[in-house]
Order: sequence, then C-alpha cells, then structure tokens
Amino acid sequence: MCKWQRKVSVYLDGMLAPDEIAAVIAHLKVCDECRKAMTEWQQIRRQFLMESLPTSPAMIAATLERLEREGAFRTSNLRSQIQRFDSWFTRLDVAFRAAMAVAVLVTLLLANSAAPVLQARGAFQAKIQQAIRLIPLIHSNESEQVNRR
Amino acid sequence: MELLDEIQEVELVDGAHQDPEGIVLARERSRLLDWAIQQLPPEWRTVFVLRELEGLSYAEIAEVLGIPIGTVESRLFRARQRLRQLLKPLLSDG
Repeated sequence: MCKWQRKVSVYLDGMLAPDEIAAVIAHLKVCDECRKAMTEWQQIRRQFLMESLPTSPAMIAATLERLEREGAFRTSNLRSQIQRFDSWFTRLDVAFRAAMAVAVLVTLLLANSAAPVLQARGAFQAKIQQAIRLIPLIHSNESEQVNRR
Repeated sequence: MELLDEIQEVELVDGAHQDPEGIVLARERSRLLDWAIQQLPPEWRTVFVLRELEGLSYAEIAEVLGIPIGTVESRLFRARQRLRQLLKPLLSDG
C-alpha cells in the first residue's frame, strides 16, 4: 500500500494542513493506487449518503450508549455534551417562558392599577360635565333674584 | 446488537427506482451497506458514521469521543479501507 494513502484519506475530508495539500494533489496525479482509493472512498460516501439514513442527536446518543454497553469505549463525553446542550436549551426555554409570563403579569397589573385612576378621572369628568350643564340654571336663578329685587 | 437496528430504511423514490426491479436493487444495496458497516469494529464504525453521515470534523469527533485527532484519522482510514473490500460489488472502476 502506498504510504500516501492515509494523507489522501485526510485530504478527502478537507482536513489536511494547507502546506500539505499541494503535495497530495501532485502525488495523486502520478499514483494510480491512491487515485483509485480516493475514487472508491468517494463512491462509498455517496452510497451511504444516498441511503439517507435518518439520524438525530437522540439516535446517535442511543447508539453510543449501546456501544458503550458493548464495551467499545466510554461515551460519557458525548452523552454529557448532549445532556449539557439539552439542559442549556431547556434552561433557555424555561427562562423565555418565564419572561413572557412576567411580561403578561406586569401588563395585567398595570392595567388593573390604572383602572381606579381611570375610573376616578371618568367620574371627575362626569362631574365637570354636570356642573357645566347646571351653569345656565344657576345664572337664570341669579337673574330672577336680581329682577325680583 | 447491530448499530443501525433502529434506523429506519428510507426508500429512494425517483424515476429510476419506481420499477420493482429498481426497488429490489435498492433494497439489496441497502442490505449490503448495512451488513458492511456491521463488519467494522465499533470504534471504527462510530468514527465513520460521525464523519460520513453526520459530517462532524475531526476535531469535533475527537472532542465528543475523547480521543486524539490522530486516532480519529487512523480509525477513519481503516474503516474506509475495510469498506472498500467489503463493498467491492458496489464499486465501479474509474
């Protein structure tokens, strides 16, 4: 096996260091074995992607849990990362809902506390209106009294 | 236990595969891919799935699995080499 194949594998993933890319490209031009390997890896990738196997974070976590039980390796890092993300997101979600609830409560409280003021203003306005209506009567009374004198 | 037991198979529905023969070929290809990936040791299999299907970078895979990046490269390379042998019927020349 050509000793460059492992670098070609890294090149396929776009993970090669910039200073190594040109060397790998030059090598691929002259090495049939590496070129064939890269072509087949690309075909394999396409085959798996064409399967469109559905995955989700929960599914990956469940899969890794099974692997851990099989004794493959410890997956506590991944599980704890997923759990941290979940708890962070849950906290954010709870905080957002709490903020919304507080906003609604404050609005209701403000509306409630404003009600007596609004009512008082309304009553005051009603009294003013009543007073304005009485003015002609008061003046007419006064004029009668003056006339009587 | 098989890695992909719980993953639901998705039927490819396009013009080329609506005929019964196409559907049978698609199922056979799916079974072969499934079988091949099961032949990989769990450590190689996980790195391969995380890279090829989930698109995680080497650094991300290394972080979540708690292994060095060099180990990620190595396992991925070995997984690919093994799959080349196992999936010969699916691979075309050139």
